[in-house]
Amino acid sequence: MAIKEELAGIVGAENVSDDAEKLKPYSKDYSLSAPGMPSYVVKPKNADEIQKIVILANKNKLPVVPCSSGIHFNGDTIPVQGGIVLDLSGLNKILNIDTRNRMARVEAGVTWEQLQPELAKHDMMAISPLLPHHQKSALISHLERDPAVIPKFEYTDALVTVEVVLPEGEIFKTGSAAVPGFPDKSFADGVNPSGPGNMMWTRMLQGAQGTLGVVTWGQFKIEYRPKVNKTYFIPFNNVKDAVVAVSKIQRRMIGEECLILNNVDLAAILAKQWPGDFNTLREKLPPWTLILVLGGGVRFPEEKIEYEEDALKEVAKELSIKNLPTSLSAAPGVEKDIVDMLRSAWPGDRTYWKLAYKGGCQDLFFHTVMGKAQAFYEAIGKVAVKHGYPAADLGCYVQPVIYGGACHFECNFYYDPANAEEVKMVTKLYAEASKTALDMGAFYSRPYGPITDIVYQRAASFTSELKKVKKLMDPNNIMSPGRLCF
Amino acid sequence: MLSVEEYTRQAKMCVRCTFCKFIDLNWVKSLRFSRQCPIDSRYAFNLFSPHGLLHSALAELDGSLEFTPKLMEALYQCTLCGACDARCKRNLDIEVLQVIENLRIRCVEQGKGPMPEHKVMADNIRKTHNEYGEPHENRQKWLGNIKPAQKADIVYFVGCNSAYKQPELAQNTAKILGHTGTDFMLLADEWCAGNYVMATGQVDLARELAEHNVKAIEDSGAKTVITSSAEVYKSLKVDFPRLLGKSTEDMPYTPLHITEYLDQLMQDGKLEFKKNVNMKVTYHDPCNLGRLSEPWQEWVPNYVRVIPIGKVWRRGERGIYDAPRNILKGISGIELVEMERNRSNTWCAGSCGGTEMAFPDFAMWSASERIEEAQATGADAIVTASPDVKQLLTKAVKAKKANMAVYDITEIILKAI
Amino acid sequence: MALSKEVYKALESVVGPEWLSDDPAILEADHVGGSVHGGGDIKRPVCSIQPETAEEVQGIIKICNKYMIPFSATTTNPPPGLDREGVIFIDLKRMRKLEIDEENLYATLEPGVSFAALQGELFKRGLVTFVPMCGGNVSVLANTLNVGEGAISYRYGDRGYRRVLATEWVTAGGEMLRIGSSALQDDYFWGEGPGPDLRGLMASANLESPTTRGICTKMGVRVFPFVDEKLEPTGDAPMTSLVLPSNRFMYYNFVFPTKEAAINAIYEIGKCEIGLFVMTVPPWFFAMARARGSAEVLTGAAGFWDYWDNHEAPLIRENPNQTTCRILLYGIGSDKRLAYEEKVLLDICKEYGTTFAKASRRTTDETHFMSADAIVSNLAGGRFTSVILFESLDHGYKCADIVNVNTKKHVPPVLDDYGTTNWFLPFEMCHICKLECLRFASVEDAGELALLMDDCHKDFVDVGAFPVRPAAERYGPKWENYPEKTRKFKELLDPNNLAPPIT
Repeated sequence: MAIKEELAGIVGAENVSDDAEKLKPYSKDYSLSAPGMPSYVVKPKNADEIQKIVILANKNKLPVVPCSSGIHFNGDTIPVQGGIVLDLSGLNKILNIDTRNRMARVEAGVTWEQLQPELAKHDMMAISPLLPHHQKSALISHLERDPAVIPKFEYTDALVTVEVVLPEGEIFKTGSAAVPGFPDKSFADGVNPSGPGNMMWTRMLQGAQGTLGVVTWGQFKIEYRPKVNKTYFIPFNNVKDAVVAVSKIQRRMIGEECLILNNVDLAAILAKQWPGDFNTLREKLPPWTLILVLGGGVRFPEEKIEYEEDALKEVAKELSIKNLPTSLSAAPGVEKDIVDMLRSAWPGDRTYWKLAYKGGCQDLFFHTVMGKAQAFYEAIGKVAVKHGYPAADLGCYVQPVIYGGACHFECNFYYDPANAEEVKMVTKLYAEASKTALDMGAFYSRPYGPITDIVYQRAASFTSELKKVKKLMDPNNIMSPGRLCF
Repeated sequence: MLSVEEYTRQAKMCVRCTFCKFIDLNWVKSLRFSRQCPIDSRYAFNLFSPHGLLHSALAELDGSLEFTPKLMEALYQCTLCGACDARCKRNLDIEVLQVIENLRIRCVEQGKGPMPEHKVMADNIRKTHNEYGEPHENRQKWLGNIKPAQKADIVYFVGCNSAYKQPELAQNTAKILGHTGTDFMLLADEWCAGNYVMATGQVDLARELAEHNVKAIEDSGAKTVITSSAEVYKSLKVDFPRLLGKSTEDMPYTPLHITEYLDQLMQDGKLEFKKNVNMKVTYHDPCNLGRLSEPWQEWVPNYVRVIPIGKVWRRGERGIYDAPRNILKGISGIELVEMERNRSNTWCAGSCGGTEMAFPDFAMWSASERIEEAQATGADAIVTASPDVKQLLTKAVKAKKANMAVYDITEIILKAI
Repeated sequence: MALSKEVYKALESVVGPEWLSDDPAILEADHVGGSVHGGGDIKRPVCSIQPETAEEVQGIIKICNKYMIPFSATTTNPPPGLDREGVIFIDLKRMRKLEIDEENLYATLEPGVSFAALQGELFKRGLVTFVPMCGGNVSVLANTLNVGEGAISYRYGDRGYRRVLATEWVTAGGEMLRIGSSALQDDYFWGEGPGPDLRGLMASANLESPTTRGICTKMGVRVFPFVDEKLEPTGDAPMTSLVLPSNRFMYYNFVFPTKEAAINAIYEIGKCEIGLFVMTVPPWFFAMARARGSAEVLTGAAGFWDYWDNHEAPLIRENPNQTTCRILLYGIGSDKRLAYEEKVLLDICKEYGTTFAKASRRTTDETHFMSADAIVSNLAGGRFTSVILFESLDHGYKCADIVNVNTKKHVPPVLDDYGTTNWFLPFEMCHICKLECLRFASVEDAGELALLMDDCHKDFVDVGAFPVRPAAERYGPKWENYPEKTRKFKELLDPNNLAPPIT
């Protein structure tokens, strides 16, 4: 039987296609990665179907590339060697919202747009990355370790247990979800990520970019969504001073959302009318803005905000910060919307903020310590200018993590994807800037794009063992071959 | 000494938690000075640790281990400082020190121990009643022109080190007592108190010394025995009653360290230090005056489940820690700064347990560690209350070429009166 | 069984003669487990070796692989895997380097650094680490990888896996493996990647087989902001404690009329995100704390059993469902925070019907910051066992019932605690909870404790409970056949099967 027919036998003919027009959307994304055409796109509805597909793929040595979100920016779902794209958007059930243990269990295709409003009905929220695209899978954000906008240690490592179809086709549940009868007939609530046995499977699957299995659902921590909030927009002339302030604020363990944006990125986020608003905002906004949200607690929320405010004022005094604005003069009224914005997906009826300026945006991001943010910004800025990238267009986002013990540092290169010269320029710029940052000590915990090969070459001991793990788990190398170091 | 049953019971309770290697955890202030067991800190093999010795005790008892040279090394390099004992009793109340002491006794009983140097010491004591083999008739030569009373309520028990090696310390003590108007006498026939004899497991000889000295004290009619040697103090207060099957309170005398005595006089307003002594000092708590000097209670094992009934625990907190400090603080000009490991957390300088005579290099290492700790306080001098400790610390300072003076507390007191 | 001269010389060339020994006394002390001497079939290692660097560890492992000699490694814990003959025991105590990056909230350390030492250094810098309940003397690196839970895990992370940053390993096959930022640079600030998180391959914090795939030789560990005020130690052993600044800390004990009310209130406390830790307090612990010290003996009391039998037990029989909880409120960052937390707590107490809520105004801590009071449990019986589960609070509550029912079958000689020594410690603000069910017996009756554990596990496996250290043959077939998978990874990294087996 032809492959297509076998696939149709598993998922139904309407859920399989090898039509070039239907395959094309999966062959590329918003990254600068080279396109790659799959042979089939398949839309399963459940783990059993996925299992059968994976078994079939093994039998026929066909690559399988899982794809949960409706949009991609990092090139991690573009097939490198053809094969089957597994479109998991049909796995879109919110399986359980457990307000007692503060957990949500969702299928791979559940988007942020779908999830946050459901959680809000219970006064809960999942801690999200910065303004995720409305089609972005919430589970993928957790799997790929997107940095969260709330740097509280209590909230990180949110993903606890998953169900995965392993590369050879076995369905496996991790952590305490492995017990018989989970979820309905077991004592366990699936909240322990360790095991079963002396391994942490959930962790191994994170950052794997689909190379170690197909995750069908995941359970992650959710938190109380404060009803009373007060937001500060603290201006800085340079990121160096902003991170010092963040460090002191985080040491006092106050605040919920805490992030630093330069004027370019903040303008892109706040602009409603393009290009007018964007240009005005970019000009009027301070070079850097620290956005800090103080969130009221479950009980006596105003009093919580009051003591956190006092602490913030003490920090301001220590650092001789004279102004603690709760609004942005360049964007009047934003204080009313910003909290909801940060706790929601980007609205589906507006062009995504990263694409609104020029249609394309290449992100360069890595982990580093906060004290190095200034040096990285300057160095990457120099590379950008060297390649003819306008300095005024360089976006930058610094997300403190874990009480400011480190940060996700991100530069955004906006470009017009329809302009071949710009594409070429940004491609070269991105490659050189990535390497420059690597040489300066940037840590690519999530490598994408051209830096991937260099990272894995340099991390020789790690790469060698990782390849062994991959070979053990995926002996036929069918899961996203060509990705990472595989 | 412990019966086999009690010895086994105590050793079996060890669960190898390793608390015995660290100072009281609430008092840890740094990585550098967090550990408390000298042999563990130096050697790191598990044998060289309190729990290692406890398990060796069980193995020796059941015949699966002999007294090999390596076991002897570990057993006799242990200074019996009692740190492990105090730490263990925070949580498990095991008589760690008694087990190690008993292991030494078994070693001697089987003819394997003690170390050759300890045997020489024992021979010296048998012949000349002092550990050095010096003529017994010279024991009171330190007196010079000092004239103790013929009869008094207080005996000054000098000890071998002060009598023979550091006579100035005995003279200091005599002068101090004289300054306070205290009449004291010497024993007609003072023998070595036998601290190291007892420590090295030579119990029979230790008992002979105890019997002799206690009789001498009784014959003198004195009710109080003062000493300025931490080692003698421990012998008087702990070893003598223990060897004679009694409790401290049953003994015919009250033992006092010179610092205890002077502190009491200070509290009663009968002693003031009139002279200024400008010095920044740190005080080293000798193990024999601190952890090891709590009164001994003779107890017949009696348990309800695992709880010993009627037992008075010796956990190190009732040692003599405050008296020396009160004295130093009472002298104007003295700035007292504390090392991180102080009071019952004190680090053994290495002179306890007979270790120094058999393993001088190890003892020197331990003393050097202590000098480094003293230097970390910024003090000009380290003060202690034991002639043996003072001697060893002085050697260590010289070997390290350290910029630090070493004093016995009697020297400081003499400067102040 | 002795090492050949050739192997001995090879090992000696790695560490030098001083740090290698095959003396019987050395090996005797090395082979003892954390239990009765001679208990279990524990064999003496064939030699004991003490490396000082990761390169030396690698050298030793490579020799083991060359000559097919099994090995076992540990720091403070009794060495695993000594049920085999001919094991080389690698003692990691000499590896004691510690560096603290105060600004970026992490420490880089080697296996020989203890929690108390790290905490002492951190306190100087206005930082704090959690310290496990088994004692501040244990190895930070080893405990954090193997389990890593303590009271303040309520706020500062479930178990050690939450605090592990970059790591350096020597795999059981002798390869050097660096995970996280250490893979690319000599900096241990970040633990994940690059790409898949191989920390999940090497350890699980499940109290199981920590060195079965390799030996961790260096680790970055997260440390946390703390109050500026110093916690000064006070007292002489054994009654020492740390003085807690009263403007920053406040202990509260509160009593619920039922276990259900207590569990519900604890969930609410977690959701309100107050406190540095919260836990239920078994009355057993009160009795143990009170029954120590010379005073009891001097006044003629018979110690623990007198107190338990005559004071606590009658109270429990009168109010069998009453549950005592303790919380340490935490005023970090703001002078007003403590008052806020207290207000929230009292509000919760009122809502959930506490019969007694009292700020004990205790201004000292004996246990939670340095864990100086570990192993005290032994005092009550001589031996104890724990049934430990990490899952939700509700899961713990249901499992505690199973343990209580099974305990009754073994009393006596297991000591009757009237179902009160089930100890709930919620972590991660109650996203997860540790339940530890302590049961006591005398040294002679320790075997009965093992039978009790077995009975509990028989019931757990059927109801979908999730205990730690599950017996693979019992749980494996029900839990996704995990032993088969973990065995394959074991074979991958330990091709010659020389590291301790998976237990």
